Amino acid sequence: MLQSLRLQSSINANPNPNSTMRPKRSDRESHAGDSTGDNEDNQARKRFNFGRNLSGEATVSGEKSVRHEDEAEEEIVIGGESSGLRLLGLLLQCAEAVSMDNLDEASGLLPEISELASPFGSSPERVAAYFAEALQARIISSCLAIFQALEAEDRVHVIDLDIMQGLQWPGLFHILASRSRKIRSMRITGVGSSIELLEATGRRLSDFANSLGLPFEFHALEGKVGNITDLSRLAPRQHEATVVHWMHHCLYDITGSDLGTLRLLNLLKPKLITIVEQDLSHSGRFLGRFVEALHYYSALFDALGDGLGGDSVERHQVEQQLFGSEIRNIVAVGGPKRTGEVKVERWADELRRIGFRPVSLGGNPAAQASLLLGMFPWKGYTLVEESGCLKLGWKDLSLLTASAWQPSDQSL
Amino acid sequence: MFQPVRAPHQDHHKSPIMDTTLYTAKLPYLIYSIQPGNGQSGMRSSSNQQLPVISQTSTCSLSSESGDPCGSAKWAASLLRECAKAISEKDSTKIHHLLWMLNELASAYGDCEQKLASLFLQALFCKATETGERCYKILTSVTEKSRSFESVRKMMLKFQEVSPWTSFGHVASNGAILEAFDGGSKLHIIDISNTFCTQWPTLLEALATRSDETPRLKLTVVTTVSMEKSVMKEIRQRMEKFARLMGVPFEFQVVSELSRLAELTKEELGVQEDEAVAVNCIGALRRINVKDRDAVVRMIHSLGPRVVTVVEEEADFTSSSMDDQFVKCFDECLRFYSLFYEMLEESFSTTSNERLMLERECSRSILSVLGCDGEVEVDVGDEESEIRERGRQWSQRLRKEAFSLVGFSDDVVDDVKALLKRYRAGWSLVLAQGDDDSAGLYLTWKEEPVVWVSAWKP
Repeated sequence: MLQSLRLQSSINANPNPNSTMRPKRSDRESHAGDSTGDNEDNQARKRFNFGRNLSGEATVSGEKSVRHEDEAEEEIVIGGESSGLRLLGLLLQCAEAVSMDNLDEASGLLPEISELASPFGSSPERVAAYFAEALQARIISSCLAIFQALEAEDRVHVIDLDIMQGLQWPGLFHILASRSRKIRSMRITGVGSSIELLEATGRRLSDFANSLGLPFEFHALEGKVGNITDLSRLAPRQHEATVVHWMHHCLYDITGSDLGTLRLLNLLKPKLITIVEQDLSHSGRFLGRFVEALHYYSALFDALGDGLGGDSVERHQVEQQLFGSEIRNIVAVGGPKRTGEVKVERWADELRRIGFRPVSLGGNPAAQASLLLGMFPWKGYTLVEESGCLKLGWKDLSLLTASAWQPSDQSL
Repeated sequence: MFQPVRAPHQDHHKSPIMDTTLYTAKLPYLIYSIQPGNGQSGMRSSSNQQLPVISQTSTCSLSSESGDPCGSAKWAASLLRECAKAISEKDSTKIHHLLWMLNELASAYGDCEQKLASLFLQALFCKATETGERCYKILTSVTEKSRSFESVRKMMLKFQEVSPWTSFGHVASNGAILEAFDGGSKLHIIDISNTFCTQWPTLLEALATRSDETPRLKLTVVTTVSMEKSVMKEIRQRMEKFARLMGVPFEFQVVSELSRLAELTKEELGVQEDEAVAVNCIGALRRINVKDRDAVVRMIHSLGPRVVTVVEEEADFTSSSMDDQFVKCFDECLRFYSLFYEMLEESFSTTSNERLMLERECSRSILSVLGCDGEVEVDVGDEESEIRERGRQWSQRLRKEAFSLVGFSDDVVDDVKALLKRYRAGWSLVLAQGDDDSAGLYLTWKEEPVVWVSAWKP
């Protein structure tokens, strides 16, 4: 009955010129000579078309759509500067959020970036695809670390040794607010150089916490924590877990006297100290490094795109397996340790001396991860456990130096 | 310890296609042996925890011999299952450990294993952090914004070109509808589906070439997927144009401002007494909230249709809403989507954007099923379930609401067989046989039933 079924023509909703089945009222004459439609269709494809058309013209109109389209293997070709710029703009916005530990905003931006990006598209799309993926990975691991630390706690006291605008905390608020087990009390003591700034930060955080229904207190501590003599305000309350968040900025001294800081940590015996080692290359911060990398890989992808075809499987494999990993390593964690080496080792000794011992981020991943990595030699990852820190490396580059510390006498 | 996945229905003796445990023998797996974690100097090991130590032993190398593009080391499935188990046991140390590992290894742009890991990582992460609903809402709004008529159409056409996954249902449904309409002059098709009308040109063509007087066709599209208005507008223009070309008197209407499918009425759908009605449900029933499904079937019955065609993917996610069934539901999701991804990998070229779009849709579906405790209310009233049921389960529902099966004629079966011949090897057709609950046709890929189609009448 449907012997004359021709898949292609029917799906295209166009009469197939090769069809033996003639439409009752043949309109072929009217559009047979319509060759200009071809160009317009190609142009329509090339237009940046994501539900909105930047050039303001109508997309493929009903008229042209009925022709038989010669659709060979097409890629979504995005023309125009605007789409690439928009994508990169979003990426930078996201990276900035990550660099400020504003995980909430970052994870809100990522889906849009990912949707626009593609490893099979234009250069900006390909670069964006891998960077977005790397950012995603970083967000997930940051979230995991925080979550894990606070999972069992009802009362939390966070001491942020350099709170600035406090942009890293709303994300945590969100997580705590959406937990099924409601948190009983949450207080943040923010340390900073200007009392006005601190109070402004405190107000903002309070407003946000209130909007989420979180019980919240903020205390401002002006000055450098290493120089604090009166520790009563930092003392933990009953059943309260103390977490010290310490973002190392080696470009300037935030904590004051190192000895003082150590003494403080010793006294506080926080349940967890999270230390994040930032890259200290000439650009100084995550964001700078991110932008640098973006430029570099954009150029590289461009060059590759010129040399090989748009649908080159080899290019895709090189980009995904080699550069994708490289990008991820740069973005996902601290980055190459150039000046940081000495410092971390020093801190490790010091922390040990005052009674802390390292805790790995997830139980005992070293042995297992090692075995896992052993299965994928081509990835070029190395895993080294050194001085209580877990160091994940890519070839010769050390990437992740994460350390978490807890009092030695504490049992988990 | 690794457990083979069992399908919910254990009726091996009744019908071979129902026994989905067959597939486990074909794929090699890593065998986990649980050993106490090794303590290392300076690193405290959690003494009470037994963390999995992975040793590599493959059970069966059938896949690698047959050129399985996904490789023979199925590490993703093992890690993912362990993680799901840890989540159901609320073992937070293990959960974080495994999520961390998965995060390191996953990649949406890598090989099959990496993609699977990436696919499920998002859902598991959201489940563990209870951020599923929020995440799903963001993903949905992003998808809505970025999907255009062109991009969706391209994706569907390409998919139909390389795989019979969707065209299978179209051909069978069209066949059943045309046969049910035979002789009628005023036809009304109520299309509740997610196919953007790619199914109908063929049917229009067939109507146009009927030996008798060309009937009038009214097509009422009930949209179940939220999308921009411009998309439906494009579709309308194309359909009207094509119908004009075919010389079929044609009317097109859209019902989109829906609160609940169950509340639709004859009047709202514009069903008239002298019309022959067909209701076409492709990938539609699963979008309805589980508790409302019987009511919708009842509503369809009340329209008095000549035929109702149902096409659904063959999987059972109904255990998703039950707390203690998380692992069961997870296993089923893993089984189904692993198959789907493998199929995509083998059907599309490596650098296909269309495949990427399809993979991203899977990501949302899985997030909805696993990461959101079953069903998400995106906006008040909007139904956005992704909880699939198997053909057997749908059949039970239909029979309960006084529908009886319409068998597919030999002609239609021949048409479907002819269709399958156009594609790469691996696809085939199985008729459900045996008892009352079996019905319809199954599309199988590598002998696994993947899509189910059936026709019913009141």
